[in-house]
Amino acid sequence: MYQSLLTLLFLIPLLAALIIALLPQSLRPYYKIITTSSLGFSLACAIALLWGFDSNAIGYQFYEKVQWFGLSLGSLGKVQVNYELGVDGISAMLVFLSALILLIGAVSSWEIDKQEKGFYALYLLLSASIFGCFIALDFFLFYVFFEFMLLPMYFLIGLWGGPKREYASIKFFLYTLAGSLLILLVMIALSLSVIDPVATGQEMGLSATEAFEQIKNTQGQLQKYQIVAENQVHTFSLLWMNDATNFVPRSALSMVGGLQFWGQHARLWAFLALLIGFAIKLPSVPFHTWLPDAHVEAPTSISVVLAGVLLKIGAYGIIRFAYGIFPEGALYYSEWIAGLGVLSILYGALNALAMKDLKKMVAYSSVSHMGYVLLGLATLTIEGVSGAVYQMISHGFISPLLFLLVGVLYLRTHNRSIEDYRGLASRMPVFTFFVIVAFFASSGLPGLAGFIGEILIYLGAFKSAGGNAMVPYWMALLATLGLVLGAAYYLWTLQRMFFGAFWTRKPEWEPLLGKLSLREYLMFVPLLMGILLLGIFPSLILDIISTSVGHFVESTLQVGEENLRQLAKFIR
Amino acid sequence: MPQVQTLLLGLTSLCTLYLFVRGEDVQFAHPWIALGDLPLHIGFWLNDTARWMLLLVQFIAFLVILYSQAYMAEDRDKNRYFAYLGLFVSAMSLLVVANHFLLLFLAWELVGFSSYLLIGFWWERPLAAAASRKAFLLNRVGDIGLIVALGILFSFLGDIAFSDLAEVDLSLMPHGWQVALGFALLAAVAGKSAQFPLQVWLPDAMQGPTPASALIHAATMVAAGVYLLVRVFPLFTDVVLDGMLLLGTFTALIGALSACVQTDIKKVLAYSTVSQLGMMVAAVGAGAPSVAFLHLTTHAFFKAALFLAAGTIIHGLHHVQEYHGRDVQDMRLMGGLGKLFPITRITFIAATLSITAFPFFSGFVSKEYILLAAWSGNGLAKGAFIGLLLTSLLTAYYMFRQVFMIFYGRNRLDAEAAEHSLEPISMRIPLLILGAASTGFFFAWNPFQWQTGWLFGRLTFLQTISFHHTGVLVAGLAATFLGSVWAFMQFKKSAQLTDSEVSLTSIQKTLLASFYWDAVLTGLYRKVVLPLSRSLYRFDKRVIDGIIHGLGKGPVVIAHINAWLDRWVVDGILHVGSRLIYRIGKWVGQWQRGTVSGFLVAFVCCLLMLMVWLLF
Repeated sequence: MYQSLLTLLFLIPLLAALIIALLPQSLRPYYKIITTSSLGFSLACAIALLWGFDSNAIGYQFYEKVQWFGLSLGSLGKVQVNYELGVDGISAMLVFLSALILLIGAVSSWEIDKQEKGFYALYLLLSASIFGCFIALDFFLFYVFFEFMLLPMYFLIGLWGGPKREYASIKFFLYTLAGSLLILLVMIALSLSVIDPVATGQEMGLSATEAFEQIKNTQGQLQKYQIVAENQVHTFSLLWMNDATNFVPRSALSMVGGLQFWGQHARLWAFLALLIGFAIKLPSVPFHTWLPDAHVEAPTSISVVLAGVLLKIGAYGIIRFAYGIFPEGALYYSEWIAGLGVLSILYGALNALAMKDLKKMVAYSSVSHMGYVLLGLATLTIEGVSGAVYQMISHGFISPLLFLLVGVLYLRTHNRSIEDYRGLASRMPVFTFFVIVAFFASSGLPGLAGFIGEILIYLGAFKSAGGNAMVPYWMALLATLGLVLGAAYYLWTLQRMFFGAFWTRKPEWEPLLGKLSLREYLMFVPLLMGILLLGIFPSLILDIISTSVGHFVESTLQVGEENLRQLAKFIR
Repeated sequence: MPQVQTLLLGLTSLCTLYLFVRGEDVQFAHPWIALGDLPLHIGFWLNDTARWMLLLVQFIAFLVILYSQAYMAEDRDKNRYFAYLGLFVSAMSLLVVANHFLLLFLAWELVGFSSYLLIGFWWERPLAAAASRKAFLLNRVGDIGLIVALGILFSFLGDIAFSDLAEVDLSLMPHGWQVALGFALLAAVAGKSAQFPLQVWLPDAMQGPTPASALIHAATMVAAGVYLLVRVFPLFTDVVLDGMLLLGTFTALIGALSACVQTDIKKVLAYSTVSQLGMMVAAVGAGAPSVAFLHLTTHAFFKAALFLAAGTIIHGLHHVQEYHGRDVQDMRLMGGLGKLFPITRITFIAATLSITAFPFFSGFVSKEYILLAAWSGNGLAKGAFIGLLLTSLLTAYYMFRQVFMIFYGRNRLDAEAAEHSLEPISMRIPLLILGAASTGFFFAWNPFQWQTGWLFGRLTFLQTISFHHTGVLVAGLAATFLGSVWAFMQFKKSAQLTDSEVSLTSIQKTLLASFYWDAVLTGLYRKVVLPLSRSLYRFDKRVIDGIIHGLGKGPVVIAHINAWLDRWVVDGILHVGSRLIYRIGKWVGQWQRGTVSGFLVAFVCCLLMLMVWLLF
């Protein structure tokens, strides 16, 4: 059953999308049921995935590989693209998070009352491509999924969004496209540089085994220029890209005699390109301005998915591709990455303080919290990276709750301005309770999910400053300011909107601000439970990710140092 | 439900009493955050100080919750109140027993959060909402210190337990980092224990219900900072201790000075708390954590007594006709209330005699020890001694001023008691217990020689105290005496004045506003942080989005040029070309008029030519 679990995971929403597209308009009431149940099924798959996941094993599990298509390059050999899926602890956790948030987003989508067919079909398409991103192990396949997210997202914001939706959707589209372009460039360069030693061996007339000796032998021949270009089978597979001996010598991104631009080795440029490409998605300051606009204009359910899952693809891309393929870049640019992280933490928080629109404030808080992820990754310590992954998961629980809560208000009054409400606590006590929990969880109150990630990242930053020197002390110190700023905007909002005597800008809103509906409880309570559980039992996540994180940190540091030493030898 | 909670808390205090009497050290650790081979632990360490502190917290919490039954009886949200108090007691107990910095930080934040909830309990009041935010944010500023300390310790020593601090080799750390660590911890203490420059939140915190103020903002939570200093004392170097001494003395002085002119019954006590906490911090700075801990103990009892007594008055005056629609916390409207509140008066006076360090009362012993500790220290400590002596004098002044203003003289509003007693039994019991605990006899039969008493017997930590100096003793007594006489003279002089607000000198105004430090911090937030955040947003909109729009416009301009080229160059060529072809077509078309015979002729000719070409 586990053999094609990953395929099943992303195929279900895809099929459901197809079904909805083919169903006649007369069956409109069933669209939401099909969507929700198919995503419920995906969640079940994700739970089965975690259930069957062996958290002590290093490497990818639930591995699937089928040859997709090959392309002959004539005298340059051939390029092979594979359908290659697999998860490690980090991506398994992210798959689970995505399944949960997409399901909650689907429930939230029930508010949509125009062009349901298009909405739900696109939503399912988006879901399928999100799953695809987290499970693809072939760069080409990943890129297909990654790009494919753009299309539904563009229409979901552009057609079902708020008043400035065209601007927001175009901005989102172009920003992300710019990032994709950088990723595409690196991907092409990689495919020209990396070979699949097994397939190449086969091309040379060897047997098709994956025997270690034969692979070593092929790699050795490659490095000695003994394999002619016609026999080289180029690949997009991540598994081969991680190993520098699979790079064709004197190709664009090889260690030995790779290209140089402006005195910098092409590998470092490629790392930067991937970093920026994914940092746009994350988003990190200064590539973040698409996020507030997209959030403000997007319908609630899309905001939920955007903040809960989509941003994590940026972080995941940095971990898997930028750090995974070019570990030397992670070491070389660690201070810059940490600097971007600290900048995002403080800049995002300060901006959130200035916001008058509640949703925009939450959006900027996401920028700030994603800054923690960058800082944690830059430390390259077990604590920091675990904290970064934990922060991704906990933010995946907290920010959807925040956007759903904003949605409660917007659904009732179509107004989100902080200054237009006062003393909401007296009319909506349960709503206020959820808001207080979500706000404090987001500002890192112990006992709630946000705390663990933040404290681990701080510990990692200090440990790195005293240990592997990836992050200097002053950045770690500066980052702690986020503790105060992160609380300031939430507390100020609570004081202004929820406390004091009841008052609304327009008197006719008063009767609208009533109790929460059952559907709203159904969305809030699981998230709230998750936030509490993750705050008290961090081992729920850490047990699954710790082996992968440990391996990631160790290999990044080890391979990165080795590669840097080699690069230094070849550049002057 | 509050009754059940009281019962449960009574039971847990009995349990902690058992733990205290049994006097056994308990210590255990459990991995909480598993990170490969090096998990972060959470663990408990129940040593003698922790046992006593735990008992103190639970016992006073029990009394306060008992007291709150009557105090909050008429509040429609009282269940919420008791829930918050419960959260506080759990978090505080956790803080007391924590053996690791991580767990301490967790509890430290949680007590801050419950304090936030309780200060803002009556959230409809804008002042309460603002005060709760200020308290939490200033506490968070202090928490930066704790995170930094945690980070420094973690980066040099790893996940370390408090119980191992005494044996730890601090030379593993460069001296600069030791100093940084010390000051980071001091910053954390300044936040939680309301020391300069973060002290301003405590007077504002008086917006919360008075019993909560008694428990959290007087007896226990604010003392957590001092408790932390005691717990991690081995980490401090001389430089840090000197800084601590200065900070504590300075805070003690400004707190006492501010308390001298306050007119709000709770504000006096709040500034007094700031000042007393300053004395404790100074005692730790003078190298005598055991003395600080002793003062923490006595302060917890007498300050809780003072707050609860003030609470009885505030609660009672709501039921007095003459006070309707007036500020029941304004001491200028009080006077001669002793008749209405007999038990309260006894308790308040007993606690006042204790805080002002009169012999036979508990504060006498602990405060004299603080003065002695300062006197027997280095040169700097001798300077601090003067400051602490002055604080002692001021304490006597403002406390007796308060006693006289509330209980003596003519009743300014000629208030008559309401039908029923203003002191319900559930208020009287805690008051009497706390009043009794403010006397020296509570701790030992001989109120001057506590070494033989039960507290010192159980708390081995305190047995290190051994100071003797008759001169210091006399000086302390003289300061107390002078302060109380001064207050009495002032009372005699102004007894005729009905309204003391007529002429405030500029000094009095400065003291009333506590040196305007609150205004400075608020200004910093309003004039620096908020404008900075707004200009950053403008930067976001104008510069970053401007660049993005510029980048977006570039391709649009290029596209327009492209379109122009398309229309006039590419299409132009195409048009010219198509016209040419059209002309050619026309010309060729002339031959194809559609006459069958013409076609036939052409066909035959072509066929012939083909045959000729193929054959030859």
